[in-house]
Amino acid sequence: MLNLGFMILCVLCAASTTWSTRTVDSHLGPKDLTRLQKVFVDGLSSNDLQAIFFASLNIETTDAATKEALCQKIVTLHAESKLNNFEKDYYLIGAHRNLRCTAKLAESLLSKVYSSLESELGTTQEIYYRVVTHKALGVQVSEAAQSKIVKRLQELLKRDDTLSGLGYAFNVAIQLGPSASFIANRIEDAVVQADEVDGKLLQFEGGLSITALILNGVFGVSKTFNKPAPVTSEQAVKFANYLLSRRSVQTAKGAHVLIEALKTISSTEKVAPICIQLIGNGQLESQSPTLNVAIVDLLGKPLSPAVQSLSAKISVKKDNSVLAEKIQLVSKSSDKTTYVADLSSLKPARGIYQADLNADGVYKQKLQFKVLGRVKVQTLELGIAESDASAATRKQSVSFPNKLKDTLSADSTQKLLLKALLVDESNNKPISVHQAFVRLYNQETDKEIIFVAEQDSSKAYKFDMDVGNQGKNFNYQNGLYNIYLTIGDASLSNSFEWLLADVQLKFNQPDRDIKPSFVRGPLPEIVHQFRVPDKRPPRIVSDIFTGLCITPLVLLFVFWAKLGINVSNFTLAPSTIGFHLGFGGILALFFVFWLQLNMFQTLRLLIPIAVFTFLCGNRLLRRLYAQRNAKNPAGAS
Amino acid sequence: MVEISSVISKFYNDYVQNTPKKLKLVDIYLGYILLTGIIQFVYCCLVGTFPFNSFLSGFISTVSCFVLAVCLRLQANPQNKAVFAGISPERGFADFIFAHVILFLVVMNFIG
Repeated sequence: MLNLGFMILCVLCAASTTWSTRTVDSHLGPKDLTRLQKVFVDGLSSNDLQAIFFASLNIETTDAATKEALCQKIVTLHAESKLNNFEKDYYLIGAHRNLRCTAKLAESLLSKVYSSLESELGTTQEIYYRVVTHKALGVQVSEAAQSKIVKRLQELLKRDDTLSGLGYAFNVAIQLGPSASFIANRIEDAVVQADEVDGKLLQFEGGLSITALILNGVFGVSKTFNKPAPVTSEQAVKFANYLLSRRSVQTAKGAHVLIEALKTISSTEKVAPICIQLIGNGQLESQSPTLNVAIVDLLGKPLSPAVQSLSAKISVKKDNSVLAEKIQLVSKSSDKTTYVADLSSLKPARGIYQADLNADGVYKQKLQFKVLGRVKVQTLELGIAESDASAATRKQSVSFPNKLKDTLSADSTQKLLLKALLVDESNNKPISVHQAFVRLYNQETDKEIIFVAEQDSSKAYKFDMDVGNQGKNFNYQNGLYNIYLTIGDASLSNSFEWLLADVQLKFNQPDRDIKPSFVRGPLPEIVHQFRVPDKRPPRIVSDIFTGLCITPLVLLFVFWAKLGINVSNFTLAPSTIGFHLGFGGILALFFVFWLQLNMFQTLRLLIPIAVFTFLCGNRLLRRLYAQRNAKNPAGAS
Repeated sequence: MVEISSVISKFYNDYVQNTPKKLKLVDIYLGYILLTGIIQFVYCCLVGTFPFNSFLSGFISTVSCFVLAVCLRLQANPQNKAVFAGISPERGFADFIFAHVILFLVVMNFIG
């Protein structure tokens, strides 16, 4: 059971990875090549030594005057350049050679270059530039120097194992030939370091230049030393995808290395991916459905051993039902890259299809295409009805693409009705479309309003507009309106807009009084409104209760009198009088406070009175205490 | 029923005989305040609380006076001498007066 599951899993994995084998979706087309060419042209006229070098590598300059100017310019640019010595020397000498300059290069520069290989070179990059500079000068590197370089390379690679170091080492090895064959063992080291993006792209960290450098290096090395292809075909597809994704590169160097790398990959027959794509926009007319497919290499060139047989399995995208198993696509005699299949025998209906293409059993690709249908207006009725009554309305038929002769007219008590039945031209069955709009256009004011026509249960498109209710949308603009019917769909080849009729619309005018609220100006002043006091009880009730509140006071005095208040202790000492006066004063002050004073005034007056009262009270109570103690010494504590 | 009336009469006699005169004065004062408060409350129930601040200050003043008077009674009661050692009835009275001054200031401020 487990084994079976595992097998299924394997099959599934295999199936998922084989949907496109050794094919890519696009290639460097004529448009891209022209653009890259333009990058080179710009590079040639720039003030960048590197750009001039790579541009001169890719385009010929025939005009003698420009050539002369360029030859002078590169010498001055070389002097000013801030690049590494070895790099700018190479660019100068390389550009000098590419431009076929007549002026001699400075002796000092040449001797410096020649002697450079004698010394200890710092990096693999430096070695690479020095070696290719020699090559550009047409000077053979001596055996002794070669073995020295190889030794140095081995040393450097032991120390510095970076991707760029390896990349340059590969390229040096290609130049040196058999003596540097040790490098072939490092191919795998480099390739495994590629990063995968989304399972579709493979690249080396550092971008286009590093990726191209290493790809050129590993392919070159394996070719030079007769090793098998350095990458698998799946990897090659992913590298090619990455390179193609960078086709919008803007620098001359980038453009050069991009083209170089693509050339390198597509020249390696065993793994090179090809591009299988649809010609045109992938939309086929239903009358003559012809599938046109282009098969080219990565640079848009025909394959050199052309594809012998190309077959396709056509299935409907919606439900994956197979329409045809093996359709042979035939190579066009006039154009080697184009393969054609006529699908008219299959009578494909309107819809989206998928073609699983298989070229020579090696290259597989899935492509999507659309078969367009044609729509026909079977019937269209137009009429004006009373909006409240259900009385039968007179409807008029209009046939496509004519316009109704008489002008309709409708006022605010009526409504405009439209019913259209759309059918597929091939089988006369009603169809649904993505867009079905009714557009009302007023020529006078150049205003339009668009309504959506809805499909009813019988699949006919219906539209009705109550003139009275819709007035607001028309801004109550009476007048002559053109009625257009717009039918559109991505899978229709004859989407149309049709002027049906003219209608005179008359809306009820809205209340004009409401309108002028737009006028700008100060808003009315907001006056603060106090809260309206609650209703007070009648005077008599309040008075009764005031009386009631006083009665307990009377009762108090009555009971106190009954109990017999002892006022014998009341002496006429100044402190006694002072205390009572003071306390009375405080209460009087509070009464005044209630009537007219505020808190601050009250406090200001209260403080002296309170101090006075406190002193008097203190003295009074002290005396009372002394009296009590004298009378009853035992009670003292 | 008889028991209850006997209990009440005993309680009353005991109160009349054993309570100092000063405390009886305070008790009458308490009764007066209680009565006033009740009348205010009845007014509020019958007529409504408007103006609310006036009602509130009146009612609060009765409640506070009642509380302060109870405090005075506690401190002046000879039976509580042990609890309020160091606070003589005179000191209690002074506090009582002082508290009233503050209370009335607040009440007057609030009465509007």
